[in-house]
Amino acid sequence: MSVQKVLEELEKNKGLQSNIIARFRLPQRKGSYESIPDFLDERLKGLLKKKNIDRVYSHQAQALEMVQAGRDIVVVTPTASGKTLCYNLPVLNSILKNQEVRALYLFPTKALAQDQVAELIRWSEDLGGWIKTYTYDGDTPAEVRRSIRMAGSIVVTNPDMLHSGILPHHTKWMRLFENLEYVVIDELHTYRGVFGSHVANVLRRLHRICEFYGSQPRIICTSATIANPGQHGEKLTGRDMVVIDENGSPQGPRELIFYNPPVVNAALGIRRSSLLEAQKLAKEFIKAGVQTIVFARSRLQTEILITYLRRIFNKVGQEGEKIRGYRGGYLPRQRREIERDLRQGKIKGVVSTNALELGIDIGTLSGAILTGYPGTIASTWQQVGRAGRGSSLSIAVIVASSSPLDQFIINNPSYFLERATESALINPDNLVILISHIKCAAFELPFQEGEEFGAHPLEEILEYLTEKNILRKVQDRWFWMSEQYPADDISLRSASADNFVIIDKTKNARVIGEVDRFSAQMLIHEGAIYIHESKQYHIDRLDYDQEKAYAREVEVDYYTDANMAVDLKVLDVFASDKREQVNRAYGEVMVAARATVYKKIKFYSHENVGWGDINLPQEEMHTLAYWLSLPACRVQGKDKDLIQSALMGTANLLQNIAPLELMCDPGDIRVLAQVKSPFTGEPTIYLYERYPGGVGFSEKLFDCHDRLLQQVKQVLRDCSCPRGCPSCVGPMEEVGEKGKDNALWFLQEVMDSGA
Amino acid sequence: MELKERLARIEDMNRPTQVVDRKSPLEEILPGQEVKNPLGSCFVVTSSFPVGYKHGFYSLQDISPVCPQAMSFLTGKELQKPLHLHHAVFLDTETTGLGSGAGTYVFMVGLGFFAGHSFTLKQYLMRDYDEEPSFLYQLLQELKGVETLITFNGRAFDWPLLNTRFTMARMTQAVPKMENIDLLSLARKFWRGWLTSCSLNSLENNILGFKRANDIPGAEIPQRYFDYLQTKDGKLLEDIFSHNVFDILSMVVLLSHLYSLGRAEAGEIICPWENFALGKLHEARNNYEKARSFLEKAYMLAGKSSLATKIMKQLGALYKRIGEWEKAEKIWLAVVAKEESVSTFEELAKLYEHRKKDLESAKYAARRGLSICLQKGYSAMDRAEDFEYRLARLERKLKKRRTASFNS
Repeated sequence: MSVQKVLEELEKNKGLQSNIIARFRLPQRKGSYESIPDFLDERLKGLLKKKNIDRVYSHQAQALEMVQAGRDIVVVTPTASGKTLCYNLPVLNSILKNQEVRALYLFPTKALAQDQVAELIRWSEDLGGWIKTYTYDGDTPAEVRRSIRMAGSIVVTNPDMLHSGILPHHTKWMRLFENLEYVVIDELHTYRGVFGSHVANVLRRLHRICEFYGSQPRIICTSATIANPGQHGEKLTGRDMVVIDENGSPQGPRELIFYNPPVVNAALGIRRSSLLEAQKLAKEFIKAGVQTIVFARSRLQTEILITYLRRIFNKVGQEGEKIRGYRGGYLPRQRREIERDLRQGKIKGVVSTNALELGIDIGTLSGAILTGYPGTIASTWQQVGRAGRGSSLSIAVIVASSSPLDQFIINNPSYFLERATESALINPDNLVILISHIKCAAFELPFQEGEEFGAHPLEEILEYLTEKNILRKVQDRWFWMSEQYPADDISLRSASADNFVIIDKTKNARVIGEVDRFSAQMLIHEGAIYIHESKQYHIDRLDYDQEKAYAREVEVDYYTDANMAVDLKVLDVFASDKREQVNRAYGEVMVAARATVYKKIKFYSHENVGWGDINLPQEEMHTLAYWLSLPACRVQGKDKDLIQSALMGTANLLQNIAPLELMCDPGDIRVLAQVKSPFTGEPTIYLYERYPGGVGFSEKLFDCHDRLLQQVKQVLRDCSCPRGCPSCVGPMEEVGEKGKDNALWFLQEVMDSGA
Repeated sequence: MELKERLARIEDMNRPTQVVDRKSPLEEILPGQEVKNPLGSCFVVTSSFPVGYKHGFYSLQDISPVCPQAMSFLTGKELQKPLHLHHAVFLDTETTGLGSGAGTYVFMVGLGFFAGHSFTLKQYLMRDYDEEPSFLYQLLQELKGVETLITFNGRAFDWPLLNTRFTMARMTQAVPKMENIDLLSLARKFWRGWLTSCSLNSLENNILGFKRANDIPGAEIPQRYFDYLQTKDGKLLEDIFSHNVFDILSMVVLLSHLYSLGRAEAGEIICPWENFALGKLHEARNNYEKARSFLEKAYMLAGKSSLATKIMKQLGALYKRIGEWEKAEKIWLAVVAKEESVSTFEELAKLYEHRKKDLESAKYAARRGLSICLQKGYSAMDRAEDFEYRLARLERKLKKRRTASFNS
């Protein structure tokens, strides 16, 4: 009802109406059902009956059948399609038939795990209460850990805890591993990139340990829609997967709106900030009583939005606590509290980074506002799906930013609606990641000659670690020979283990958050304004060696943004291709990055109000890169500035468009343009992966080179600006006054005729 | 590029390889020999100490009067299996790390036991990783028939780690059920708060009168063993063997000392912490008179130290238990004069309300308690509610009393 009110308001309000590029009513979908399988235990059948479930969706029936037949499966259906039953039913069924059976559930975040446990406990109580389900994570008190290890039928945890808390201590979990029949991996699609590559290795370690205890669990995965669920599942788990992707669940109608903020400077192609437009829409939604989630692209945006929205709702006499933020970097206790208040409806609006993209069951959200295109089609559907659980009408708005990718999507809604989703990429054999987990695995169980672990020759790696005196080979086995606890040094969420902590010294020193090493240069250099829970902190001192930043609460009217100076060296070429018009390749590179200066940018007006130097040591990283260069003969006689401008413009476009193909965050890859690259000797654009060792983006870019350039050219042509703007080639200060022409020239040159 | 080259760029940690000019075989350095069993072999050093052997202030034989009852008193619980010294073993391990987890190995186990007129110490060594099964097998042989395991921090460290090793070697079925007396937890009852550390080393220095000569610090032991694995130079292990001997002998005399404390009378001990600990132990055994004399003595000795309030609270609870209400009141008043103690105000409120029928004083105490709870905020909400409930009841009673006196 209130959603209807919002829709009417949007139609009445000319200011908003004119920005709506497209509106779609995603229709109600009818369900497809099958009867409850006969092989379920009578008690489970009785319970389903009591819950008024007299049939199951077709995809649920298929999942049950496949698991019953002993297959490993991946179920691919959208948010709110009852996918939890696809694993809960087989698991509960097996436990009812044999009390000793154990299951391990993996969720990407603690919050999701806790939701699942609440649900399972309700089921268990209805089944007599003896099926014990526990979450096991960093917050689990020491005194209950023991009973979980001994008596937990279903242990719900996250990959990080499995990696550092369970596998290294597997002897204490003997009961679990001896009787493990199921491993459930929810939200499979989130295990991509570096995180996924780590998790694949954690699962390799899990398989080793299961083998030691004589169990061979079946694997049940669920995933949001991605292009390659089967392949991804197989790469992640090392098992053959049956893909179940015929969704049988019904869905309420949903209004999907494509919203483009108005142009404020036609010549420069500058649009009103998507942040401010999202705020405006959120205000309307919340005022109309629509519980709304606003997704922001970054921590910084999240904090700015909370600040803005709180100010609004304080003005109209509502309490500020009705608006909350939710993102990585919050402490667990804060997050639990926010999740609870959201479920209870105390919070009317929540501003989130993609932490909430995952299917946390928060119940009654009926509006979703996406500040900027989330970067991938899969992830957009996930965020859109946050609104509208249940059969009533819901509303989702995508607010475009001025970035080329956003503009491409917002102006081509059919591309978005019709195109298949992206593929999830992982590279479990990334050497940096693989070697970390080989160490963990050796700690857990000695390696035996003839064993396999990953795609590289294992023995060579073990020999290497033996030479370095980390392992010791005795007869046919390699033993751990170090007092280090290897899992401690590895964080699954990033390739480098060390995080910097931020300590608030305003009153009593306390830790308010943490950032990874590479972000530290950008976010917590001395002089930076670090924003946390919409409070501003001035970084007084950064102790780089101790990995600590000391902050003090302040109130200023600006935020800070750092510039990075980057240098790149090619170390090894994996594949290359020489054409008449373009040379392209991918391989291993070394990137050296250093933050040099930062700008102070004023709130609201976003004008530059000052700057400062950053003096931090250079960070070096080995990673993978893809590059393309224009053969030297084709640039003869061209002005250096022209080439510079053309490269910069094209690089900016590539940086923004490449994530379309890669299903990655725009921040996962970086670009670098060199007018005369020391390696190729030609004007070159590098796209490098932001994680040590890389995860395979470069290879994929090499493969889709032609399509990628095609898309870049299309964006450039579609852009309405006359000479280039931040929505295509980038700001004029960077690319000069003829940025658009120059980039077009470059694209014409490098693209094969006829393309 | 070669795999190894790429590995070298990622992992440039380099732990130096040990080089020695001359390797001394273990047998040359230590009076031990190889033992063989069905699973292979390992190395054992056996040494024997006459019971008169002095280790610090005590000699080994001072332990002889230790009896099952005394142990129940010290541990504060009935033991499943009473302590008989000739069925007990002192156990201490040396390991490849201080953490737990499946990659931490136990490479040495020292076992000490009384037999006849001497104390025998057997130290088993796993000379390389492939000897682990036989090493563990040998340990299980030694533990056959043992009823009590005496350790220092073994409950939290040595024993769980050994169990991990037994699981890895698939030997858990053969592990005997034993009573574990952990001397660290006993020592903490007496000296936590007084000594900055209750480590065995600190106890040796401060309590047992023993100073180690040329000891290897515990933190260096894992690396020393790794060096041995690479060089097989027995000389590297000499210090670890003697370190392990010190640990076990100190455990024996520590038990003697704890035992003698357990038998002492209030007048004999001048340390307030020890008196306090003994008072609590006696109270737990329902020896209220003894408990009272230790606690009163502790109170007297404690002076103005931070310990004094703790003793006073304990004493107050004891007076309450034995019905010495006057004394209880006096000491509780002394507590609240020193410290804003919620529980003590609660006790006072109960005392005034139910025992002395002094409703005004009860109200005052409950109010003070409530106001502290409110200052503490959220964490003390439950207790605040209790006080509010109490205050409401007191008001009703006062009103009733006023009406009653008015009517009469």
